[in-house]
Amino acid sequence: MNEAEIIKSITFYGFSLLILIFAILTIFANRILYSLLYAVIAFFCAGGIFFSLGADYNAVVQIMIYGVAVPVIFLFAIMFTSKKEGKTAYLSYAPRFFISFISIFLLFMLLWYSVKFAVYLNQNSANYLFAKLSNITIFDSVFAISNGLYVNYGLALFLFAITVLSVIVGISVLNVIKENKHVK
Amino acid sequence: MLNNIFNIGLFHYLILAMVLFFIGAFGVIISKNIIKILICLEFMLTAVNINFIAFAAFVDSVKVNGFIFSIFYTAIGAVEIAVALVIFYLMYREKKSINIENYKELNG
Repeated sequence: MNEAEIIKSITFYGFSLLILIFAILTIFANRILYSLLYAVIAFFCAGGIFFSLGADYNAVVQIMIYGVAVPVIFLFAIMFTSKKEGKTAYLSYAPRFFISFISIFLLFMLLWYSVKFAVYLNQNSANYLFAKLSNITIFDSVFAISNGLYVNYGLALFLFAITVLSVIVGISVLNVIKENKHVK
Repeated sequence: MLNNIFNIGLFHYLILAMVLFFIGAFGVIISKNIIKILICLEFMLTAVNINFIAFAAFVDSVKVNGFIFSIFYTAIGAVEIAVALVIFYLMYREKKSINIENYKELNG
């Protein structure tokens, strides 16, 4: 068993365990905000799985859309629909400040040591870490995706753009119909 | 046996996607909160995305059509969630409830 296989299996099993644990926690969390946070962690780990398969562009899209954009929409839905009663369960100001400070510090240290680890692997191996995990290199995947998206499946992209436009118009029309009903 | 565990192949990714899909389906069935149901739907979409990308990486590593369809699928999933949340908010303005049990009189 060589170094690349060990790294590949550690990456796969680590991210898979995190995805499954946080997906189960999402279902059984008491507060809906916590379940949203657990879901965000699971989506980030799914991005890691994509990254380990050589699909870096898909990983970035996954993290941008499912990890950031969709939770913001969910957060607005939770804010608009939540009731006032559960608010006493929050921590008071002082421990909340302390816990958030410690968490930010730990996150910073984690990121710092990940970068150091990546640089160490980069210097100590012939290829970059994740290029060894699959047969697809970074530039291959970007070239193939742009070729497929704009050349082979250009018509599908055009249809998708029309779909998004019709969705925007449809949402606006839904709101207008509802407001008119309230006026009557 | 040990070699099968540490030699990661297509089969491992398919198992992961299957388990994630069933966790999402389980959450959709047992959850009462509409927002939680939508989050579990996202898990099912992510499981299908993992399948697309695993097949593209292991079987079709030249044209990687699975990567492209995964991008379409991610974008369509985000649009679908936006529409679902708007419809949910319109229903919420009538009922003032996030419990799916209170929407039993919907047709269908």
